[in-house]
Amino acid sequence: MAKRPPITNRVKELREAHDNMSQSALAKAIGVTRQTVIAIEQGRYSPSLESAFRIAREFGVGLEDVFGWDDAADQS
Amino acid sequence: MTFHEKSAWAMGVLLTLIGGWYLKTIWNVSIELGETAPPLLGLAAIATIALIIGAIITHTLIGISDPEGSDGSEDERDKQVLRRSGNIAGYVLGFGCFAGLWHYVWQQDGNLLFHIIVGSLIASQIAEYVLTILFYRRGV
Repeated sequence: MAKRPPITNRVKELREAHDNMSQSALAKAIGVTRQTVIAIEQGRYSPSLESAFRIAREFGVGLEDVFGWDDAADQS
Repeated sequence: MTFHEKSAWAMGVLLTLIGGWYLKTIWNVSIELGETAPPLLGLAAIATIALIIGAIITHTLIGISDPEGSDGSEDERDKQVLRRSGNIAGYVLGFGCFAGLWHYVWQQDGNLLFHIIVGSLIASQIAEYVLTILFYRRGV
């Protein structure tokens, strides 16, 4: 199985905090498919820097409020 | 499931069935002749037409089932998945072609070279579809 990137995210949490925004709405807002949003939320895909910024801007927060670095996963 | 993953499933199944039928027919004809069968262009044409018709039917059904996702556009994840699976599939084709050429140097059998190249083309396309599905499911 492909090693998961050591990047955590709060996309699902932020989406739900924003009037339960749907995955489709977020996908449309940042210019990707709904399946890509699902993959990001499940940690199967790390978005490009541009998409990461678009997600953060969509929720009106900073990049590090959405994404984090998992040291433990990085060293395993 | 993305449009590209559905497409990979459809084309993978189609090519496995039609490509398998094509290669099995070549094998059977070769057994009957007692030597490598010459390129059977009629058979290749039938297989190609069957593949095209199958692709049109399956992609129409995919489009009807998911009209929004069926415009064929690629987002950043699609591009990564398709590029990586295409790259690896290229190695399969390259290896097959090299094996065919090497075989020709020793056997001087042009018919076999033709079949090995066609077989490599089929194998590399199937590999591309399988890898596309794998990368979508397990991550790039």
